[in-house]
Amino acid sequence: MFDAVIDGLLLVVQWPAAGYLLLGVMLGMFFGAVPGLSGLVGMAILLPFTFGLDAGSAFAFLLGMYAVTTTADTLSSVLLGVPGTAASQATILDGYPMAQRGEASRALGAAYMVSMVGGVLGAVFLALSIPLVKPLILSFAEPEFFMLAVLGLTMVGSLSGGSIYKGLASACLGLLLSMIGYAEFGGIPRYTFGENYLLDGLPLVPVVLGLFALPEMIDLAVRGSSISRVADAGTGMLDGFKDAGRHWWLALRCTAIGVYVGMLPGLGGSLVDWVAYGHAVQSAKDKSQFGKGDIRGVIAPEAANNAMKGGALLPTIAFAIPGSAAMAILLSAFLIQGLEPGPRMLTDRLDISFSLVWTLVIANILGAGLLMVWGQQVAKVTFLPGHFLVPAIVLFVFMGAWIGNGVLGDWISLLLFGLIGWVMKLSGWSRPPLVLGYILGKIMENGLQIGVQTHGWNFLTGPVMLIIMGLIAITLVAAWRRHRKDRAAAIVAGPAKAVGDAVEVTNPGVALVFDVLLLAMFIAAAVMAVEWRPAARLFPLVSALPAILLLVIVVWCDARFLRERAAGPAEDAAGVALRRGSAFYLWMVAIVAATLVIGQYFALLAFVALYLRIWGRAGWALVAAYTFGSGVVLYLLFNLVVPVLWHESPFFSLFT
Amino acid sequence: MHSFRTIALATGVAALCGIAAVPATAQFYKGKTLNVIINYGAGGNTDVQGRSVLRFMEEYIPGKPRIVVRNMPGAGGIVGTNYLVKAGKKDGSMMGVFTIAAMAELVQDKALQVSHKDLVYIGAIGQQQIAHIRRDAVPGGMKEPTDFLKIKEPFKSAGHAPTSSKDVSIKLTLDLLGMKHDHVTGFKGANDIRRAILQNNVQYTEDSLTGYYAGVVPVLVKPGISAPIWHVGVPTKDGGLVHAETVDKDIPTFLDIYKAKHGKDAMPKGAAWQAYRKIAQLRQVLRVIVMPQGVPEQAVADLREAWAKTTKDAGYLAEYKKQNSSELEPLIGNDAQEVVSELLTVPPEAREYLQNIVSAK
Repeated sequence: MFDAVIDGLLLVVQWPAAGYLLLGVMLGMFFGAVPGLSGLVGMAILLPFTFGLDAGSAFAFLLGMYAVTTTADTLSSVLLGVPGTAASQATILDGYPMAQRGEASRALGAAYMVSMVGGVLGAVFLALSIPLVKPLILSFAEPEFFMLAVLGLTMVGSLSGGSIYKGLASACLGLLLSMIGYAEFGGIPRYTFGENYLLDGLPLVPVVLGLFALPEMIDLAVRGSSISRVADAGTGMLDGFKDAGRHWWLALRCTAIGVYVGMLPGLGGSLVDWVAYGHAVQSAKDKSQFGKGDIRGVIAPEAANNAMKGGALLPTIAFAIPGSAAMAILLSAFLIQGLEPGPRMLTDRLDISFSLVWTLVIANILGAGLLMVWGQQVAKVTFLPGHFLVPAIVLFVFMGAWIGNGVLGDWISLLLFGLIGWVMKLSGWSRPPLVLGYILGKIMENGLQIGVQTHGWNFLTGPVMLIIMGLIAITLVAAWRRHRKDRAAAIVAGPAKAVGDAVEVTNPGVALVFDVLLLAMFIAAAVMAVEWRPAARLFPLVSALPAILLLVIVVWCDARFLRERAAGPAEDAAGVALRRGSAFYLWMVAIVAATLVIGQYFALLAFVALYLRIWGRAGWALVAAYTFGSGVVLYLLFNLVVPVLWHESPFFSLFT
Repeated sequence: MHSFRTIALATGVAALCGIAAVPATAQFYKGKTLNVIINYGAGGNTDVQGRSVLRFMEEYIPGKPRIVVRNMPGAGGIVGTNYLVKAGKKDGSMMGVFTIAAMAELVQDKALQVSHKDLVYIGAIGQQQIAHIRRDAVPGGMKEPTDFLKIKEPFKSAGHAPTSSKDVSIKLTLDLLGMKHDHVTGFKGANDIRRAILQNNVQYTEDSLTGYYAGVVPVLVKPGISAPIWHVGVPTKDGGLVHAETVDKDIPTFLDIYKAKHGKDAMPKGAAWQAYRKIAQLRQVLRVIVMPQGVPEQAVADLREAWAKTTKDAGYLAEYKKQNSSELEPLIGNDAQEVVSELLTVPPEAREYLQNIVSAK
């Protein structure tokens, strides 16, 4: 065993594997930091380059890249409020408010420290957990995934916003949106309205970028000031390291959560940060600052999402059961290397298995170390004027939405969900449950259908199922009690906040319209579903019916809030923000319109130039330099590094 | 439409990267980009095999175009197929590397808005399919494939979706043999079915040759949990079925098992057998390299020649064997086109039979 540990280390540190590991880490930071790219995209792109490599180099390259994507993704989550990858969504809840408070460096420092520790300890847990793996994996099948997903949604729905009703209804909206597309069970298209684009469902990346990134860009453009609302809070990376040290026990617990949730095939990656975040909130004595910039809300998901990588690796190598698409690609790399994944990897080829553990350890240390060196400098973007940042973020967000499929439909989805995200923000609706509902919807439908087919409705009575149902009940009761306590506090604070369910609504008029539209949409969706075959209609109805009940309550609360709320200066300010925000939104719509005429490349550059000149009132020299730089970056990144199929003008072509 | 690279030069962008306008030559793809659609997601079998084909084929395409790959997954490959036929440019700049969605066409799935006849075939790769079952589902254990026929109690078979060719094949073959089974569908991938077999939630499924040798053998066969029963086989012109060269000799064809059940001279007949032959033909063109109809002839000729050379490239053959644990079964140009054409010519009773199989539980 000890020999295998040493042999594994040697496989990674000897040349050229060490060089490939370093290269992988650098690329991983790029794939993690740019929204729209991810470890999965990185794996798919890099896999062909490993064909000619020896096993040690190939795995060091691929896994080195993959390991650090969830460290680097913290950058955009904290600094811009945009999730770098799906695994860093929970980080936004407290990371971005910290950046707005001028504490971006502190948040990043804590995140990198626990990412490193989580990644390293995750790998160690991985090595120690080998005997536990088989019973754990074999205890979980599709029905258990269904119930785990319900637990995750309940946690997120009740934790991540002011109103528990809106949180849960938002989760239901995500579930319903996940039903768009070809229903494999019923063999019919659902809610596609004859569009080929919608047959595969709504694309995840444009939806997430739309919901999270566009509303922040609208805010930045409207305010024009920096992301940080203060000039300089005087905190730095070092404070973050101290925070990580102070909350070491939380970080350790979340590392364990990361490893064991990560082992569950198909579920770990999308849920792990939320389970950790939920655990942090539930186990905290003082919960008042969560969602407003509590460092524990950064530490928990960041420790878990790096540790998850170790957990996900084990079923892949030991049972050839990859837990995610990225792990499926790693499985291909095994075959290319002539290795046979399976129990023998833990006996005959233990050196290779340990080389993977070592790769995770070294890559996590390297990645976090490099980001710690640069983080302080990068965090300064939160102090730059908003108008200077907006064009660059728009470029990355629009290209991030484009990378996956390269069709205009993805930009329309981006804009549509940008609008929905913005309205949700104004209306006190929490966005994370929607995204999680969307991600988990298909998994839940599969779990429910397969559970019923294999065991009938008895599938609900297994021991693991009962434990998870108990946890769901505890989560709901705890959330309900917290919710009542908050409402009592709001009533004490004064009549203006007396309607507890609407305390975060900044524009009650918009909120009410949105609530009513959603209610109508859910009713229409349920009516359409009734006509379908039983297998196709089961899940849409399961998500629509509770949502209709929840929305009736929401409409009542928001209507009461609107009636009792006295008009005043705050309302005037909200009206101005609404008008200016709408104007900026139309500018983004204009990018799509211009693309149809002058092509995608020039449309984006035209936006950069005109925005800087008109919104930012920049001088011509700055406009020219910024636009030129943007052109170069667009070309290098999206034509050479990650080539995309550009949308060309009908009048001329630039890249054919 | 003509190249406007000079405009990019004017912005300083193209200048930085050193590209320049290229005059037209006899080589169709010289200085051009070939955009390739893959109709399944990144990292899946289609994607990995497709990217591998492209990496080698690129070298043999006269003019060596720049290849840009785009995954367009959805509805069992239907989304990418619809897109290439309906919206794919017909100037030779677009190609597809697909897992053929022919089952959707055979059962007239409304989601498929086009026909596979509307594609030009550059080539195809065939791949056999192997059925296997947990040994403990067979009374007295399973020593040889025909022991499978001893099962009297219903077992659980597993697939991905009612319209997937795997599900149709499972239901059809078990129907022909008169085996009682409850079919569980909806598993996301072959790995999920393997896990369910390990958990003994289901017992029976079919896997592609790649999945069988790479996943089923190490996880289920070598540890003694499952055993192979048959493989689909290669259809012959006279209506028969022969053993595929790529499959181990000790795994019989479906027809061998059928004869073991019904007598050595028995031969399946009627709509069910016609439908089965469609499945066997589909396996011959499982992955296809295609272009939309109406593309320039030179583009098709160049790409067909490049594919033909790729199928003889020692490096590619070795890589294919590594990835798939089996030899390449290629078809080139017109041969692929002919098999697809035959596959899509379906007697009405066979189509009806397939449609019934899809809509049955």
